[in-house]
Amino acid sequence: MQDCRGYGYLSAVLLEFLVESARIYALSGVVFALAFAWRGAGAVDAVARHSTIGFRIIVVPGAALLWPLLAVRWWRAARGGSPANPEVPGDRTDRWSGPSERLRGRALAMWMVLAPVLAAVLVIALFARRPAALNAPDAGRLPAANPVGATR
Amino acid sequence: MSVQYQAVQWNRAKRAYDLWAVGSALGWLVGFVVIGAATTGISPIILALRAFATGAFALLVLILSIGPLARFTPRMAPLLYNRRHLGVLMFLMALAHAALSTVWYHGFGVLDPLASILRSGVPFEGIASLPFQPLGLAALLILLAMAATSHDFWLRNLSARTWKALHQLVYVAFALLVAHIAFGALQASVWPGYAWIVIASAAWIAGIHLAAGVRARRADQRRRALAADGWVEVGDVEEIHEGRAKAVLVGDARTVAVFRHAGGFSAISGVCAHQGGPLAEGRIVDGCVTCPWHGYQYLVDCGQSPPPFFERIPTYELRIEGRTIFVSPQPMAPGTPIPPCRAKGGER
Repeated sequence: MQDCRGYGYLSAVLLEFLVESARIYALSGVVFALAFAWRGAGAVDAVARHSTIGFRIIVVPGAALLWPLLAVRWWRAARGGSPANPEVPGDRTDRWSGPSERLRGRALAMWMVLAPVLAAVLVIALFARRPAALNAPDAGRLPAANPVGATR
Repeated sequence: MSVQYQAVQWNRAKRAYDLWAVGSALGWLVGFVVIGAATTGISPIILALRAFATGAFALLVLILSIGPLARFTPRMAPLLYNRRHLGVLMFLMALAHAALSTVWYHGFGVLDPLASILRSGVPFEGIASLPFQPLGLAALLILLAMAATSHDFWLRNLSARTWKALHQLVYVAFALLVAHIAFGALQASVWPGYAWIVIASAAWIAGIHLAAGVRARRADQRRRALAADGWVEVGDVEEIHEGRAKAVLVGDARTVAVFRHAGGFSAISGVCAHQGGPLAEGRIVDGCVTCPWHGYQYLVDCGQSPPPFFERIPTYELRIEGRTIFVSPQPMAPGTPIPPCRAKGGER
């Protein structure tokens, strides 16, 4: 089954599922994040217990994005009765000392992959340009992607 | 530092840095729209979304240039100091571009705007009609994740490893944005210089990251070979200037920063406890080693942050034979005081 823009029925259903899932995830995240900023941050991290209002506001977007992970952390902290991440003075360099060389290596590996990919993308894109289209009167204007009258 | 979390840890230098950054961004946006409207007759909405897009991309190129360039020249260190605020500013500009584009190109049809973005470029009508908008959306999601987790709270609670892995995705976001531009605006651009700017930006960013990465790997290999056994040679005393340091790798690839201060030499971990910043690239301010990334400070002879802060980093024993400094590969407990080591017969 095809709609007027060449979509199969399955694609349309999948797309609708994706959009609705994203919407539900985002809405759930916002509701969770408000509660997390109010009580949860202090439950999972002792340093956050006495933090400022500004901090509680700034933590909301991240909490909305990562709410399933934080919900598990908060639940565990509530069960354990103490913060999952207590305030521990002292050395925190171990978390960087080992990984720092690995991080540099991973960055180099990523760029060894990305550099040829970028080159290929740009070459393909440049060869795909249509000189005739570039000389058209409306060149430089992107078409309306979602015109009135388009159907699902 | 970490006594309690604040929304933004501003100080005088960081406020000046942020004012400069926001002022430059506003200048770009206003200039782009005003000059564009006066000379081209294009709608102010279109000009605004282009201004946000070009501003965000230029800022991303700048941000991605700072790290590798700081490896080659200390002159870039001041820009490194508050890079995360530049990142948040860049994300906000990209978000404004996305919001305007979504409303303008996808907001008035019968489809849900998000569904419309995901369906763009279909049916496939050739490479020139590749769906560039989903590429931009994917890049924006990465930038959103980075901006939303840029606070120290996330660094501490996601773990350094996860946090850094998440933030290294900025390289993927850059590649997605180049593809977004290449199959989007570049296809419709009539000005040949536009293509050259995009190509030059991509080549520059890829080139300096590869060059810096290869250089760092070679340096790591050299240091690891030196640190394979026993005390490690740091170098001649004259190599280290007052208030500055030299980095060496000891033991199982631990970086040590050997500082010269008030006529003596002291060695502390070369890795900042905050975000792993390169302490050896910092300098001594008011008797404290100051991290070039975010300004965290440590007393040079004991590795402790000045009160009321409680960070502590390991210290290392030094010895000077003739004019050559050697460092022990065994770290002392974090915060252990070690008297500064001095060259026999005084230093020159």
